[in-house]
Amino acid sequence: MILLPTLLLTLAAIASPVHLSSEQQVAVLQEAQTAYELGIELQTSDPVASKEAFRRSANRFNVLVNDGIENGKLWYDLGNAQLQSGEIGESIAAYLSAKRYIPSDGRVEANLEYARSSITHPITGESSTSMLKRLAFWHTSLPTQVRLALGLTIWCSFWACVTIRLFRVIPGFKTVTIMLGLSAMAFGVSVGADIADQYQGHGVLTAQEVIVRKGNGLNYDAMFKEPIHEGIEFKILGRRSNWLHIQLPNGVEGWIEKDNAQIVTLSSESKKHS
Amino acid sequence: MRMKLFFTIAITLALFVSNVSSQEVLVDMPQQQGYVGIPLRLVVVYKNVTTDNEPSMPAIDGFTITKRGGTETSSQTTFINGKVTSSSTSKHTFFLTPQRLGELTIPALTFIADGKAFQSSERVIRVIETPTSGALKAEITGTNGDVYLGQPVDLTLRIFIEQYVDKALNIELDANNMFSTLRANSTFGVFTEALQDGRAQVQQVRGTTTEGIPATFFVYEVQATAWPETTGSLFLDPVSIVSEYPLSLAQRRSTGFFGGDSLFIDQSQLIIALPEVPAITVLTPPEQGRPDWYTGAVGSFTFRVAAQPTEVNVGEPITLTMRITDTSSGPVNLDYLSAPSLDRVPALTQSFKVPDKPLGGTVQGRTKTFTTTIRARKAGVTEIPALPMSSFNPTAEQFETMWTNPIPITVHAVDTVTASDLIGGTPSQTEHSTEHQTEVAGGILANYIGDDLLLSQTTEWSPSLLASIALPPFACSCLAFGIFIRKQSRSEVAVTKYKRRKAIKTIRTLATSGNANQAQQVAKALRALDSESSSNAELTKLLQRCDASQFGGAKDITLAQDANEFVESYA
Repeated sequence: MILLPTLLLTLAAIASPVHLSSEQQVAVLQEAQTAYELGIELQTSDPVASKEAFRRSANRFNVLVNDGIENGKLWYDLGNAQLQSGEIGESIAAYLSAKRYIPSDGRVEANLEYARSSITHPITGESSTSMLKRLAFWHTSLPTQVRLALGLTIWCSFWACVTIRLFRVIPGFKTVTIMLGLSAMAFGVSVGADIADQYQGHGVLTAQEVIVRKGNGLNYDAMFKEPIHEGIEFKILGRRSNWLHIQLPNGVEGWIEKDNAQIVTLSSESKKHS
Repeated sequence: MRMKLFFTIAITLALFVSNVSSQEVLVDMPQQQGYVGIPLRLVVVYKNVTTDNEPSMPAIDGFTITKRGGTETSSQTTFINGKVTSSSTSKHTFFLTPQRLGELTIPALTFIADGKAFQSSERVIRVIETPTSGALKAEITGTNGDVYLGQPVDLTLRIFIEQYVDKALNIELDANNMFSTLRANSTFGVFTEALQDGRAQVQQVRGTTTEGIPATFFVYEVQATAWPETTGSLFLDPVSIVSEYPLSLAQRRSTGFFGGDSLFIDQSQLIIALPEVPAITVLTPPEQGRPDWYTGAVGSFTFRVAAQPTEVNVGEPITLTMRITDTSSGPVNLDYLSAPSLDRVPALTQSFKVPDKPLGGTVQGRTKTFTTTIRARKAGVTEIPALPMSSFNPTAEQFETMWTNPIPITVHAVDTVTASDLIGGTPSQTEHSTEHQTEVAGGILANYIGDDLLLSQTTEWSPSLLASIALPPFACSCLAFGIFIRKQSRSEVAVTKYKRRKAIKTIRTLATSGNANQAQQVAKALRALDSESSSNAELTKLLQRCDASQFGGAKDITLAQDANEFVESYA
């Protein structure tokens, strides 16, 4: 008698995704934080139970992210719980997602570096940065919302200048309006790219050892003699069914199974389907 | 609340329907035939039996019995259609070595576990004489002398197989063919994994048989590393190599033993090689000179410690992260490496409360990381003293101790040190000062807390965003259009006024001065005065008088004067 309604409830939950109410979100957040604190307490006395507590905490933070709540601090906390439970790849992906919301946050940067230092055999690329990237530093260093606010302000200023010019002559009007117009356009493109792309062009290996292949199938030869390890970041060049065409930091390209990696994304929906 | 209730019901149901598989004890020994002196493997499998007691084997007539150290354990939990099934297995391996020929009986064995008795069935093993031949030899060489617990033992297995030459068919079997004559019931002990990974190397050497006849031998060499788990004589799984050595070959048309070449072994002889494991004793490091904090590390290591935070109140925890890296060459196994016993370091314990429980660490590559927390006992402590990590150097046969640098810290006094301060209560707020701060590299920083964790920061194409973008240009365009319209209308009025002013001026001039073309000029000025004034009767009359004067030839002396009066009244 109890089993039937429970099963029906479960089926109903599967059939239509239900979002958490605000009270439930608060409860899940508290569970996540409590589990994290427990993990810290047990870290020295019972490492196994501690790891389990961190895993439970990461699971609860993930519930919130999958429910559509996305902000830099939540991604950061999720990354911490995953790192403490030994999931280096997942934690790096979470920190990268956090960076998009709070790119200049010192904690995110520090923990991301620590997670990267835990990679067994890291692959490093050339550290030189292209001129275009240097010029567009603001794109990566400012949060999307800040760029949006700046862009809107400059956009309004541009039109305010044009409007004033209708009534009176402004010295240097052309220079000012051209600069304001170009700046507004740059911020617009930057924000638009974020909204459209959702930063899905990058990923992180989450399996402990991954064989990079020369093609999108198990029949293709391995690219390297040795497998590459969890936590290595890569650029996604393309996708075919269950395979990702990737470029490693050292420039080498190859194919990996999608299940062995996590795509860095700002969208919970994309993350679930990735 | 509803979510909690739902989860509670689900978990209760899951527990209700969960099932633990039935308990049993099995004896796994597939062989029915053996050879004198060659160990047979017997595995006792405990399924879903919880016991700390290892099974013991009674003496069995005709066999000598040895037990392999360690136990293989595994457990699994499966969820199928909401049904939870858990099972666990532990395997204990024994080696039974037949000592005489004939049929030897292994009686029914009884094992006691979980308060129950489990009994196996009786079985009979037929033991035959061990065939030997000079065509197959094997030897194990390795670390000479004794090793210390924690040190690896490097071993090398060499198998010598005489190359078979069939003089009748004039065929020499190659290294692969000869290796394939080894039977599946050969046991390779610690070398099994290396052979499965294909790490064997083969070379061809010239030698002589036991009869002194020159012959060619294939030497298969494989290396492996063993990690002793206990002190005393090193026990390794026995190695026995069994070969179906060919005596003659034959040819046939169909695919034979050697694949496409249609060759197969016509007659063969069973031969066995039993290499002896070198006698190695596993020692513990000596008591003399052993530091108090020594916990069994053997080899050479580096030791680094980081502390966080470095400014605390009395009783607040300071997390110490200790990283021990093995700097020796060759393979490493840090599973048995323990953290130094910091509770036995007087310089630390006199100022700090230090846990005395053993620490579990995490291994990554050649580094093992341990974390622990210490708590300052009193205010005014200015540093965490240098911490030691000792290891035993087996080459120099002495202990070596590495010391870290002292870490400066600041410990503030608290009004009352409560029990929670000492056992891990919520840390109180610390007054931060900029003095004596030392930044420690590594470790992760704390989580964020607060309600803003639940606020979404996503940016989307919302109607308000689109309105914010579209409104400024739209407003500016509207304003510009208004200005344009206004300017346009203003210019038309001005033109009309100008024309009027000019017409009035012309007519006034003509009224005071005579002119031959007076009628024509007055008409032009009147028409310019108001092009839409045709409805005005007086103006129409004046224009008719202009036409009459201009085209009828009648001179109208008062025309200019009347036009001027009209203009004055019009203006």
